Amino acid sequence: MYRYDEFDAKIVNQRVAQFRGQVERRLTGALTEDEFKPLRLMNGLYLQLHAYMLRVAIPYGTLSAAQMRQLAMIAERYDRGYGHFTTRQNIQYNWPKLGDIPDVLQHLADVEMHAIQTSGNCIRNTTSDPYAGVARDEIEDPRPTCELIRQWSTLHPEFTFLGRKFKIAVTGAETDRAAIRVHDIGIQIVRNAEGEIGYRMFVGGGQGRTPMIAPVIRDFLPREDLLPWLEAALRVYNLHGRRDNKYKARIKILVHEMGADNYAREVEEEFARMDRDVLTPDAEELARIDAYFAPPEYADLPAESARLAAAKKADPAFARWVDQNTVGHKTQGYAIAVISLKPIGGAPGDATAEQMRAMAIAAERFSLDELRITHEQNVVLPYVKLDDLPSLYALLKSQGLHAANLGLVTDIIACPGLDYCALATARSIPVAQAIAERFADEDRQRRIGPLALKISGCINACGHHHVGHIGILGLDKAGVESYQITLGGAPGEDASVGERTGPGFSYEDVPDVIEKLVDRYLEIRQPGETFLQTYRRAGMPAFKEAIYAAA
Amino acid sequence: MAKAFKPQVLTGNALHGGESVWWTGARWSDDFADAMAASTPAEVEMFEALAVAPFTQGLVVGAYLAEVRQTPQGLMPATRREAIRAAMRPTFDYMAGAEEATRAA
Ligand code: SF4
Repeated sequence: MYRYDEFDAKIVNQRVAQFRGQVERRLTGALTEDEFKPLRLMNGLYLQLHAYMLRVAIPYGTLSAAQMRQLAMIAERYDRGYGHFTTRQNIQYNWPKLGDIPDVLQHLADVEMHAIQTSGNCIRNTTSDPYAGVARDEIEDPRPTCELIRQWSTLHPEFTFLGRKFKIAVTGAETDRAAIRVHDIGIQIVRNAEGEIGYRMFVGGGQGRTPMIAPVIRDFLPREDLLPWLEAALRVYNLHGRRDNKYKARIKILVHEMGADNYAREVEEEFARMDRDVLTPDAEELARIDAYFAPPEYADLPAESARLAAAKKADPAFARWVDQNTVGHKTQGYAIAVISLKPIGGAPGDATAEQMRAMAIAAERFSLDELRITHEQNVVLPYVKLDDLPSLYALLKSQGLHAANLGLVTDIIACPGLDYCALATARSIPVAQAIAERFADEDRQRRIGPLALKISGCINACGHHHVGHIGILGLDKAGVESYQITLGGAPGEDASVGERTGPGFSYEDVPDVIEKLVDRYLEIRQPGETFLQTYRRAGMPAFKEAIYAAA
Repeated sequence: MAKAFKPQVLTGNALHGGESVWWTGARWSDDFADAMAASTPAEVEMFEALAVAPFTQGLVVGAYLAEVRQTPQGLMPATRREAIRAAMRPTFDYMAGAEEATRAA
């Protein structure tokens, strides 16, 4: 894992001290809220319905056990004993007090974490493939690239006041688990015909009010040109992006309005003009970063584990969990294990301090000290020996972390919605809970197969509803919650934006409607077809008819 | 004809703790039941002035007026958002999931 150098540590510590002074001045009245608000937002501190909310960055979703323990300690000491993992691979605390925030930030700095650039119109935390470094289909670990971007973008003077927030995601694999096509900039590590590794650059994707799939703006970018090219791409946006209307200020609108070709031309012109050398990191720094992400020393293990096979035979629930929640590892004898934070009855993405501690222990004992947060709000243990899976499962089970539903209908993404969020138009978590309860039966879930259900509590789409196979958007219709359903969205390499079924449904009716959609799929699917495939083949009418049939 | 008058309360979030608070007519309270409703246009104007007064700025963040309804049980928030704020907590048992899961294990 990446470790701060002196420079990183210095900036973060200085920032904590600076914010401590700002909080003091706010509490004594020397700063008004108008003066203070931009300062707190720069440090990830929002004000929600019931309390302040602190959003902590988890760079490209990677955490050490010690960092996870610190997050648990903060949840316990400064919050109500839990935290919420978000679709941007971050964690949010829902109940901290203003006067405590400087201490919380100091505790974070002590374990090389911070909340800088988790809010505001700047370049946010770069997200990545949660299976980075261990996926079988990977060309290269994307995290050194993410780290390079993190260093370049942190406190970048030119890009601190962009027209809007700016999100970058990187994947190193063909299978896109980082949803790069719905980011402002999506980066895919690719190999060209000559066998050289470089980057394919997607620009102008996004969700929110105007969902768009990003076009490719540069098909192959040599590795050393990454930072200058990003700088050029951002500069063109900063120059031409709209600032008069916040709903039209994201780069996707600019790329759309200019046309991808024109945008690409301007970027290339800027790129040709600029002094690229100042931005090209020296080989020593690149080597330093790479070294942190060097593959661990794997043990030489057989491909099969007798212990695992015996444990699966003895405990069908364990066998189900292994089948559903572990993923093939690139190294023989190892598995990628995914901890679902979606138990039936829980709030998607929430974990208690106890659970965080259990996950830290699991990482220490079974996963070389490392954890990853996924944009699906789950937690990955990237280096588990097949032999260790039974012991890992027992530990997870003792903390209620053993839901065997990865990628199934109850593995729902949901944003905080109207239960917490000041911008929400409707609730999302209780809707997710009602649907999960409806489909609680594990056999039924497995019969249904892969199904990504995603819920947002307003048009900002933090719950990624546009790219859900089934998407649910909560709106307010004259004071009443109303839920719009979309079908056929997908976030990956076959990205698409879901289509609206028609008029919305009441809060109470949502589980019935989802059940009817799922039943219709089961009725008409062809052998081996997933929900998404059936939808893409059969189209909207077949599903629409199931939910709007005349009474 | 003038629009029907809607009573309103003055609310915001406490500066230090961030919790929802309501103006009682004399102080800020973290209990919606203590809230005073402005029931005349003159009172609404007074609330509007109070929302931006330095006194408020030093105690409360983002003070605003929110509609309420008079019911036999007393004042009620007029929107779900305000009802959730008045309850001071999410509408679901926000700690239950994890606890239940632990028990079931
Ligand atoms: S989608 Fe809307 S309601 Fe949900 S977290 Fe984002 S801003 Fe809040």
